[in-house]
Amino acid sequence: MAGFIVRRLALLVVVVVGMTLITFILTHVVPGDPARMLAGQHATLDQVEAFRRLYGLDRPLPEQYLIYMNGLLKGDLGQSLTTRRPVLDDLRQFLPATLELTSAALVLVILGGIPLGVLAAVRRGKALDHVIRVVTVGGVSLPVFWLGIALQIVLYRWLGWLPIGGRLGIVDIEPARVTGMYTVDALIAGDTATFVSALVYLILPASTLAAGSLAVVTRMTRAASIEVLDANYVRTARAKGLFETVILRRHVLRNAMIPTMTVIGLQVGTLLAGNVLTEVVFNWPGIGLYAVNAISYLDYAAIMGVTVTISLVYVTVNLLVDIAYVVLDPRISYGARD
Amino acid sequence: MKFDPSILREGTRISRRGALGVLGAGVAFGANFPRRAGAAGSDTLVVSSGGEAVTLDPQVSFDGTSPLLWRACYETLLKLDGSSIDIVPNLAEAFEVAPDGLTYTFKIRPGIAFSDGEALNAAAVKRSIERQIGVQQGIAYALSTVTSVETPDDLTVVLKLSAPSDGLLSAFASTYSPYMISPKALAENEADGDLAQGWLRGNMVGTGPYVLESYTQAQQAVFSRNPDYWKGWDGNHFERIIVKYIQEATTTRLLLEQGEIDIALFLPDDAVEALDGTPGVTVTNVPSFNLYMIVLPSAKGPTTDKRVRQAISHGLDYGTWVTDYMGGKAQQARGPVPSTFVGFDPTVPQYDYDPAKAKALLAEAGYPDGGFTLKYTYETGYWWKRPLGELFQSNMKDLGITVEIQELSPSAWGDLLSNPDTAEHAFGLVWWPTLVTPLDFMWSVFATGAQGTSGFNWGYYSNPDFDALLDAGSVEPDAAKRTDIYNKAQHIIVDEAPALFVYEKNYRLPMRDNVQGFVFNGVYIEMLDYFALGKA
Repeated sequence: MAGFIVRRLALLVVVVVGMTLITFILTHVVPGDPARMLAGQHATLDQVEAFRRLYGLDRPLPEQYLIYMNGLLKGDLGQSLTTRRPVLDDLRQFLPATLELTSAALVLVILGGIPLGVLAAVRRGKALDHVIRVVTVGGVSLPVFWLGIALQIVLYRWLGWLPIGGRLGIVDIEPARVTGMYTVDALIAGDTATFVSALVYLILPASTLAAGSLAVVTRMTRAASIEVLDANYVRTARAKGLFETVILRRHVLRNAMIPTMTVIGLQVGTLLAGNVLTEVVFNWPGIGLYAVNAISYLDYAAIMGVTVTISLVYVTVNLLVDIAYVVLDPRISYGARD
Repeated sequence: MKFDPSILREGTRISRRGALGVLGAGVAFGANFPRRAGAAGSDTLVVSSGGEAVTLDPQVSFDGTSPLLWRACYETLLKLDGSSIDIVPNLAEAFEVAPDGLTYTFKIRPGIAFSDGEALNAAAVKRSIERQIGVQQGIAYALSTVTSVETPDDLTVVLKLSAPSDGLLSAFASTYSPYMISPKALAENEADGDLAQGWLRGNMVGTGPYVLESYTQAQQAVFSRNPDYWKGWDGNHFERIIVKYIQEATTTRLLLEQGEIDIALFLPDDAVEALDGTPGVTVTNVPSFNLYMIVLPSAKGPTTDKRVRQAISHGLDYGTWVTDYMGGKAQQARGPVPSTFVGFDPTVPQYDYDPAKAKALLAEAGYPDGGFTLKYTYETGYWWKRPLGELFQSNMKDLGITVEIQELSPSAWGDLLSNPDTAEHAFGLVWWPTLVTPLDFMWSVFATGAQGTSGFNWGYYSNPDFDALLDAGSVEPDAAKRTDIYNKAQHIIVDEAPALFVYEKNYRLPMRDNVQGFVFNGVYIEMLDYFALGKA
């Protein structure tokens, strides 16, 4: 197991280096001069040149990449052209919001998708199964930006039940920063009112973000559960006279979880990508919103910083999923091949 | 809202029901989450901005979105009077420019203090001006002729110039200006000779009506009253100012409709027009100095011939654009200077829509049936550039000229056009003034020195006579003579037609109808005079 984790961590380094190289090349292949844009409409040539020198944009490309990688090793992600702050500071500010939103969506996906999938499998071919199918196919098909705006119109404008966007109300005061996630920080500070407020502001964006993945996980759980329900050991269990709930919990769910876990791990990537649109629609100040700004101004360091961070999160989550297999299924062991 | 420990205790004791309780409370809270009325109150102004501020430092940036914050805390020596372009005293109670244009004297208003208690005196003003020159960013370029800043007494500041400079006086009243920053803050926060740039990026200490309470980049800035503000707090003023950054236009629209925000800046045109007529919302409709052009490639292709450019200028249906596309909230422009701006010459001729005349000019130039292709390029994010390009395309087709339209990202667009090797395109451009001088409009877009990356002359027009006139005008201290020189320059540009002067647009700012005291000034675009605002 330890050897496996070490191997995977080594692979993580390769993935991150590869990502930086690809992102670096892609952002520099796109035509555009960020110095010209950011120096401003009336900036003189001298000012543009000074800006370029300040951010090292006058150096040859391979050199710029080496400088960047050298900094990365020291934990320096460079300076953002748009915010004029170290990218690390920007990420420290924006990443917690994204993690909070993604985690909330993930919780909805897991707590919603798995029970719905099992339910659909048990009621296979019945009305409930069809209803769940229609809803989940809808969930997969609706683009995030459309669903988000539709929910805003219904739940904010018509009904007035939920706020339209942002992390907290206009008059709410941010909780003292510990993790940067408002719900967690509010709990740490023991401030229930802010916690509730932060939770309310999470509902719409998290639901919107979760919709697509929830549908995928539901479908996957249903398929996996049906396969297990037809297995011989389930028939044996039934023959033994076990309660249906026990069969479902102990035999069906546990065995169906392996493919479902894989899908959930992959869905984390989808959620992270979906964050960009969700954050724009709900004015959620996370790295998705930050990335949109960075891309429109060709803010190289910021784009790289976001890419590296998202790759790290994604690879780490999938490593955790692989480890979870062992817990779920004792037959799987990574140690054997070491 | 105070913490009630009993809630948490109960929550931990019966965990599952507690969790449900919290969720239930969330939904219940959501059922009547605080709408605007109960949320911010009438003593608070909530402004939304579609673009984030780059920096809080008022001297180091030329971007369009940061001045919205600067104006709350920082002030300028002079200002423009109301909606006019008349320069009047502000922090300086009097000012004088010597007849030779080489000496500027400012008398500082006595009794003004920065929000940290430091006095605004001649030394403080000198320090701010010298820092502006030192940082070499922002408006520093306009101060390049300043050779010394002297302080003959505690409330007098004298600038000596190496040459007269048209527009310099307005630099002390502009959106981008040597704003007055507390000398104490500058001294205490300097690090490695950075003139306190690091510190001032996130902190503000000025003489203005409000002080920065909190700032979270990309989220919001909150300002509260500066209790010692020198103008005093009699009358209708806001207690607090909140600037919220909201990227999505639909969200902004909904919030403004519901009254959760009071003024919405940096909204796309279509969102603004959609708000017009919404109950409780008004949209301003006043002339601005925003001049919209289609610049033609003067150095490449058939458009190197002046007659072809004139023909194209006669070929655009200005009336249709102004009436149908802009809904009458604009007017056809005449020349390179807006008709309401200083130095506009009303005698410059205006191109009318006259296809017959256009065809005759084309024939004269050797293109009787057109028969050539013109590329038109625009960058994503400008609502007006595509429809204007399509009207241009359709009108040019009548003259036998094929127009190819290409959309690019803003950076790719700038890259393509600022490179003389790749630029061969007509393009839409909007210009508004930084300094109160016609030079501002003419130099950056048409002077030879502004070609490529040093300006916005991306049509690569070049005319030594015109350049000489601009050079002469910028150093001419005599106002009448200067006007004469700039008038000649305007006549040259209109005759040579390096661009189509399409329209001057009215300023359209959506706000709640109970916001009072808003006065639009075309130089102070997309910023607010918070002190003047109040709520009915």
